[in-house]
Amino acid sequence: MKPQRISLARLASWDDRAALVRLAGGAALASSILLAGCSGSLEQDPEGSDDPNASPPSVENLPPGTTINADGTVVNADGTPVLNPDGTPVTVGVPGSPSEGMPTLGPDGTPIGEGTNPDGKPPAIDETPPPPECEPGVPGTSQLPRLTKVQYDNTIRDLVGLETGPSALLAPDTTGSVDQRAWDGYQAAAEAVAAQIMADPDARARAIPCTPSGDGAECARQFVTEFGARAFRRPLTDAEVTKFTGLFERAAEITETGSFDEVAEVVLRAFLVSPSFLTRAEISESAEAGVVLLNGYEVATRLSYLLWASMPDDELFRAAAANELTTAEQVLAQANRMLQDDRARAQVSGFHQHYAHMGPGTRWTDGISRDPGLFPAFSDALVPVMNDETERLFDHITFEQQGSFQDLLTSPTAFVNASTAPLYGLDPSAFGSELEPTELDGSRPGVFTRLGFLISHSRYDASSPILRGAFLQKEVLCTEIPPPPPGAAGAVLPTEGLLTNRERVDAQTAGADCVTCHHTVVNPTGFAMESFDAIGRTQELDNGVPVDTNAVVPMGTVAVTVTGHVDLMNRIAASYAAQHCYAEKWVQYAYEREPNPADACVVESMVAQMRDPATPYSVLDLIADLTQSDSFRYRALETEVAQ
Amino acid sequence: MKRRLFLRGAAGAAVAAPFLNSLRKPVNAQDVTNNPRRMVIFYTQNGCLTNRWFPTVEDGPIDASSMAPTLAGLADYTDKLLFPRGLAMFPKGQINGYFDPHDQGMGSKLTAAPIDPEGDHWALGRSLDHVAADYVNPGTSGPLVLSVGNVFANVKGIISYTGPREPYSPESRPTNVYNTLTGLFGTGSTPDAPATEADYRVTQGNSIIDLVRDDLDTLRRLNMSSNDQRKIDDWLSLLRETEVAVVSAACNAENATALGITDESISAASGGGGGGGFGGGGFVDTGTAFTQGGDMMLRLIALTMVCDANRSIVMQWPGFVTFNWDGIEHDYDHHGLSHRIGNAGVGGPCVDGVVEMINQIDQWYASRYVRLVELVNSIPEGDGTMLDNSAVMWLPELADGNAHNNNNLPIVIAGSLGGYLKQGVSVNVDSRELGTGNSEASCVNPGDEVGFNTGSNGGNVPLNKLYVTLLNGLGATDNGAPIESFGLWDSNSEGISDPGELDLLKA
Repeated sequence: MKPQRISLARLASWDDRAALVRLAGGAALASSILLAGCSGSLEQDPEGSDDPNASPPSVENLPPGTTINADGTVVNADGTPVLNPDGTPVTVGVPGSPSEGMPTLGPDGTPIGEGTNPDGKPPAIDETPPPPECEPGVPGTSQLPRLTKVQYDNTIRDLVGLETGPSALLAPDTTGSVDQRAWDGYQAAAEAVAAQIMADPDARARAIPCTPSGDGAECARQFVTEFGARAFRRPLTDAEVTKFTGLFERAAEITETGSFDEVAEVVLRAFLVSPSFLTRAEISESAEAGVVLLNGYEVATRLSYLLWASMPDDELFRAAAANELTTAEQVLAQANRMLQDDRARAQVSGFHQHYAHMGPGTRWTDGISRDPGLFPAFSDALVPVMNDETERLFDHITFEQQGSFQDLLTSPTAFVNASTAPLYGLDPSAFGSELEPTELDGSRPGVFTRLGFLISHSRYDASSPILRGAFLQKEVLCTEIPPPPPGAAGAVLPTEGLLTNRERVDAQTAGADCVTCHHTVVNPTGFAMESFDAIGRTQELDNGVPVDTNAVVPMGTVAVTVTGHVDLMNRIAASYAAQHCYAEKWVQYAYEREPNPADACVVESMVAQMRDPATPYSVLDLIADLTQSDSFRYRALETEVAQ
Repeated sequence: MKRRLFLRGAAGAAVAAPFLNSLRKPVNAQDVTNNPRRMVIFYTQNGCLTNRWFPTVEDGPIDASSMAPTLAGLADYTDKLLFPRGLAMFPKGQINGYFDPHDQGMGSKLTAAPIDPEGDHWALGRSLDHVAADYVNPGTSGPLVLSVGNVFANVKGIISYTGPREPYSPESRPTNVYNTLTGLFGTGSTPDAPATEADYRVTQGNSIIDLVRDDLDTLRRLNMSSNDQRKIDDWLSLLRETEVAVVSAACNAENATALGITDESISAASGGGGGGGFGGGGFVDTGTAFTQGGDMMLRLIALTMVCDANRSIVMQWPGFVTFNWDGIEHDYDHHGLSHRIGNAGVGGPCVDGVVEMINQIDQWYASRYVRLVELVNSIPEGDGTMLDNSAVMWLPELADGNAHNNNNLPIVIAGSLGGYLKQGVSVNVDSRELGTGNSEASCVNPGDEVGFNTGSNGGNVPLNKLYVTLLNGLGATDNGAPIESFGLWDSNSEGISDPGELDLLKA
């Protein structure tokens, strides 16, 4: 049996090709690109035909007997061109002629000069930050955020010590109402977990802290009170204790044997489907200057789900009960304690996987294959290693080295084993099967020059400047890239008369709909990465010609001339756009909400510290600062959003 | 125990949408208590070799000899089949400035609405399975939407929508569907008989629901945003609907076993992993998910119908898989093969033997459709079988996978919806001769190159009219009158220009 896979890489190929671009920041360069026609091309409309059902000829409905020429024009069997309703020839996304080269514009619209950095330090980018978006305040949030599937699993783990992944039984994460499927999933998971607790002596002991004697009422009360306080992340009210212990009083009615354990299992199920367990309900109503002050248990819960994606530990419960979570300083001390815990590493790792678009179903895991004729050194076994390598590096820089965002993009450290050493140009005999931290020379700065990113952002038979460039622009610099324009689908990489990958990719994207954005934003960013082939090795030749990695790369409001990937990574690391992008993604991830003006204050304060040359600002500092905003200790009523 | 109250555990699985549809329930849904009608949609991706699929009779009675090679397995059922010919999906092609034939084949197929040209390209309408559920399901249960293997949670993997930009992801774990149904199982015991395990389950369930309701009532007394209040109210109304009574007496463990559904077979079909764990997302490999898991899903559809747990059911097979099971050994995924060149590119040299590879996949899906028809037809109901009161429809994403055309669609419906539909015929609802397409116009000889010549001409009667016919057959009414239209577009312009049923299909 051959290995089976669902090919995401192939699936994505309708989307890879084109990118219309709106640069973040909205300043001069962005406007000039927009005006140059990217957005305009989206407004084409197939009107003008007499038949309301007639579509313009397209991949879907080209008439039988037609063929596509190498230049993308479509001809009938007799050689006459197929025409659009407006009389222009139909093309299917194959470009015309390569561009003669794009103008290189600065913020003022004038060409940009070379920006070299003789001392090798990240050059300061003369960049005007975009106008601040910060409007101080506390954004309105839901009082009933439901546990995500990850949080559910972690919470069960920390509640009773079971690591069985019961969230597999839950519906996909959503933020709206609990619907039938979600409710079914909660019930199924609760039933399964309750049965597992009763069957596992350790889990049972963590859930039920006593041995029943006499009529069992005393132990029943202790069980409900203590387990309930941890499940609901706050002490139960007297009424709640009465209701849950009431199940024991009805033992004969609701169970076959009436035994303590049989009722206890029902009680566990009841706790696990209760809204006070399934949501992180914030019920404090003590108002203060128009906002609501969270109580200690609510702050403890926010801290634990932000830093651990799980429930509070004993120390947080203690601090909550002692009212020691009221000042920013108290919260910071707890945050710094919690960041030392492995649960924080898992949460930070989760963020970086999100940041790099890793995980199941992404191009990091699915559909990675290489032409065995061109790349005999590639094997499927590299895929888990390159993922592991990347996660280890993020973790190492953040926790072992206490590194900054800039370090993520410029660190010389790599995790290498015998299978990856040759791809890094290292001697495999110096390595075993385990990944080991290794200092590379300066030619491979940061995570995006490691095998993981380079291989996952390549094609079957060649590196992909488009995939690499689009990712760096879209995800690292937060350049907004809307969907591909009509006609992008079907663009093939032309080879005739074009020697290098760089020439071919430019030709592929030279169509009127693609050219401005691709040739100005996506392609140049990827070309600077062309020193690496489709399996992440250094390449000096591109089809026999020296690789050309010179490019002019837009970063936020400026365009920067770079000589290659080392220059590119240093410049991105130093750019306001990338720093803002990273901070904003952290804020969104941690607060589980879309960007808003109040959170923009947190982002801008972080960026200011990232850019302050006087004080180092590590990723861990940034994470701890997430707990320091007013919106972390206060809440406001969710504002109504027009649908 | 005097009266058994059943916890309606989880009849309508499969929702990923943010809102309950309780407000959308039409007031004039059919009285289905004594006369249930059901719709099952069997959905496959990447098109087929249309010339080997369509019956040899385009317009007229069919019998076993009319079956083309791909559907030869339906030869025994031709008297219960209807081939509606000449239908097309709308809108299609470049709409609102955006065009992707796969996104549209998924998003627009059941919604008859365009897809969003921006963002995630979700469809901008409510899909047929949900609309049907509004009419035929008791309460507010949505449809049961099933799949196997890894489900793409994007526009290329979703066909069901609760509303505009509200995708409804399929359930791909047989265990979850099974757990829902076992919650409905009765034991057939009489009143005053000793309480059974099932009875205790019900009592426990109700006690738990009472506690949940108390918790919600407490939260409800807080000063919350209307958004949060709605979440609480929706949850409370969901609980009210779980307090239900009558469940079909046939819905029991014995009948489940007769369908080959037991704790053990479910565990095996869910990727094994007995014991406490829940596995790492179901199956280890796509082959087992498709073969064992897929067969179990078909049986669970039959059991769902026996239990009357849902009357609007969808089984969607993922399209981006490489067939390597049941004697098929492919090097290319289905999507790449459907393009004839082995990858997502368009046009170029054919993969050697590609037509036969597509044929193998078509045959495999046909065998699964036959299996579903057999299962539903094996369950007696009234004077006939459950199939007679149902419409089990094979609906494709595309006609030919290379041409990506969505006209002259290959569609077959087994079952007559209780006599509403014609049987044993192929009916051309278009005014012109249709033909069977040109799927073998390319890639016949070694070294051939493929262009866009594998599609089909004609057959542009809007699919909306078939949907209207089916909904009326299911008992949908608009204040007592038959409904007249479905969807938002029935041409490449917004609006419905050709309302009404397809009278030619009605018995």
